[in-house]
Order: sequence, then structure tokens, then C-alpha cells
Amino acid sequence: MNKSKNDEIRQLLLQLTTWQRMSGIPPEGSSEFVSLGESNAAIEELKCRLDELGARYQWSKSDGEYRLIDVEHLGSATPKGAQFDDKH
Amino acid sequence: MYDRITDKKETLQPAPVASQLPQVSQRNDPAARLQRIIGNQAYRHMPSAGVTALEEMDESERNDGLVTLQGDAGVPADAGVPADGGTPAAAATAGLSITGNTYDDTTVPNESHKRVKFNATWSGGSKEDYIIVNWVKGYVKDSSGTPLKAMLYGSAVDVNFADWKVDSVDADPAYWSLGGVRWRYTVDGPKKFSATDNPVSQKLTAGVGTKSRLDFKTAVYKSADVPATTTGTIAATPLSSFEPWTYYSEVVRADYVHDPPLLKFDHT
Repeated sequence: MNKSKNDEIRQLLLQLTTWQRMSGIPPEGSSEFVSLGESNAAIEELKCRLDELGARYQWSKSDGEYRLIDVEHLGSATPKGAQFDDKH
Repeated sequence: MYDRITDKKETLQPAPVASQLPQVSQRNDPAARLQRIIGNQAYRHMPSAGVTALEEMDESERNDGLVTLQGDAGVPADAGVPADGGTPAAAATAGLSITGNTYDDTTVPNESHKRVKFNATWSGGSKEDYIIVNWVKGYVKDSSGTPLKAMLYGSAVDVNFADWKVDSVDADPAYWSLGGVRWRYTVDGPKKFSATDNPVSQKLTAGVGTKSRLDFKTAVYKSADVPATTTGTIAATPLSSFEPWTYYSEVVRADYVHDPPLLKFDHT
């Protein structure tokens, strides 16, 4: 993978993780917590950019962070976007 | 709060994440290519917990976009003295408009969204001299009338505000500030930047009677006038006028089977 693209994806995932944590809301949602909008919007924008870059990633519940699975290459059939790590 | 959704890292509390991080400004290239959403300060140090992606970078990669560490997150390094010797920040002016101020109850099934965009314009100094501050008043309650919670200034609070409060998940009043980096807006053109907002996203599954009644007012401030932290209010006077907007939504019928759909959300 192109190094600059790889760096950007890593940086975006770091921000996504930080916003997710700061929101107080787990990726699967919460019946007790809402976002007043700031984190909602930031997370949405970051995921959109990650999608544009072809990144597939997942939330690791045990580590409490988003992790990169792989990056979609041209013609790949694998779905991009967020996945959920159900093993934990 | 955060350890409620994890099973290991009890140390991953939101507040220290925001408060302990020094601000980092970037050099010329290669960090510039990492911008778009994150403005002109792409890299930043993260606390040790949960920063696997950054840790995986080698030292040269980490240092690639790092040059200066600024202890004062509130004031850009070049505030007030433009490199080109142009208009000083003291002559700062700014404006704000809001677009997208309509409800969308269809794009995401059974959720009510309002995706607004804060469009800022500025003149004088550099773009980092200007920040957006969003204020909120009102409540979000479940069907029993109990306020739901949200993160404000790094702590969980009931969303039931009789008075205006700064709307910021971290302690920095600046909208979209995070991890010690104050300016994270999207640059839309010369002397224009923006950010988006998407409050509550009320879900039908929350049940009939769930009600959000939030008033917002948003303005552009001179960054140097706004303290680095707040616990609810700031005394600074904005450069732009306040732009008011609302998110009013009540689940009045959680019925999924009718076609055409019955009224599900009431926005009055």
C-alpha cells in the first residue's frame, strides 16, 4: 500500500477511536447515552473518508479501538467500512 | 463511563484523553496530505492506551509530520502576525451560515437526523485564529421522562439544560476540538471552513414518548478569546452573530408496518 495512504488511514482510525471513546457511546449504540451531535458528525465524516480510501476496519471491543483489516484494492469484492469484532 | 463498553482497559477514560495531550502543529509536507478532515494539524501524540495504529509506526514515520509541540492549545503559533505581513488578527472579522437545517427521517430507516453544516468565513490573520463554538439548551428524555446522558467536557451528564451551555465533548469549547488539537475544520476554500453537526439521531426503537427538544446557537469566535477549557460557559464575545437552530423530535408512533408510513416523528 502507498505509504502516505497507509499513514492517512492509520491517522483517521486513531481519530475515529478517540471520537468513539469521547462520545461515551459504543459503536453498537446505547439506550442511555446520546450524542449532542459533535461526535456523531465527526465519526460520520471520518468513516466517509475511510470509505473513500477503501479501508475496511473493525471495532475491537476488547481493545476499545478501531483496527484496520485491510485496504480495498481496485476490483476487490470485499466490502469496505466498519466491521464488528464479535469474538470478544 | 467508557469502561462500560470494554472489558479490559479501565484506564481509558475520556477526560484524560482530551486534557493530557499537547497540541502538535505540523510542518510542510508530508503531513499535509493527511489533512482534509483534520485541518492542518494532522499528527498528534496520543496517550499510551489504545494507540496501536500510531505505535505501529516506526520512529521516522511518527516524526515525519511532527515539528513543534505547543503547550498552549488555545493560541496558534502564528496568531496575530501573519507570515505574509498582511492583515493582523486584531482586524479579525468572521461570519457564519448554517445549511442542511432540515429533518431527514428516511435516509437511515427509523432514525431522525438533522445534519447541519456550519459554514464559517473569516478575514484577517490565519484560519486558525477562528473557531466555532456551539451552544446548547434543552433536553433529551426517554419515554418515562428520564433525561438521557451525553458526554460534555469529558464527563457524562444528564441532557437537561435550563440554560445555555457550551456543547463540546471535550473540555476545549472549540467545536470539533479533540485530543488537544483545537482546529480540525474542513477547509472549503480561501477564507472558508466548515464543520458538521448531527444531534441525537433519535431512533424509533427508543419508544413512543422519547423526546428531544434541543435549541442550539452557533457562532465564530476569535480563538485567542476562548479559553482552552470550560466547564459550561465562556465569557468571550463572538465575531459573528449567533445562528440559532433546533433539533426537536418526538417518537409519536413506533409502527413499522404501514405503507405509506404513518407519522413516526413529530418535529414541532
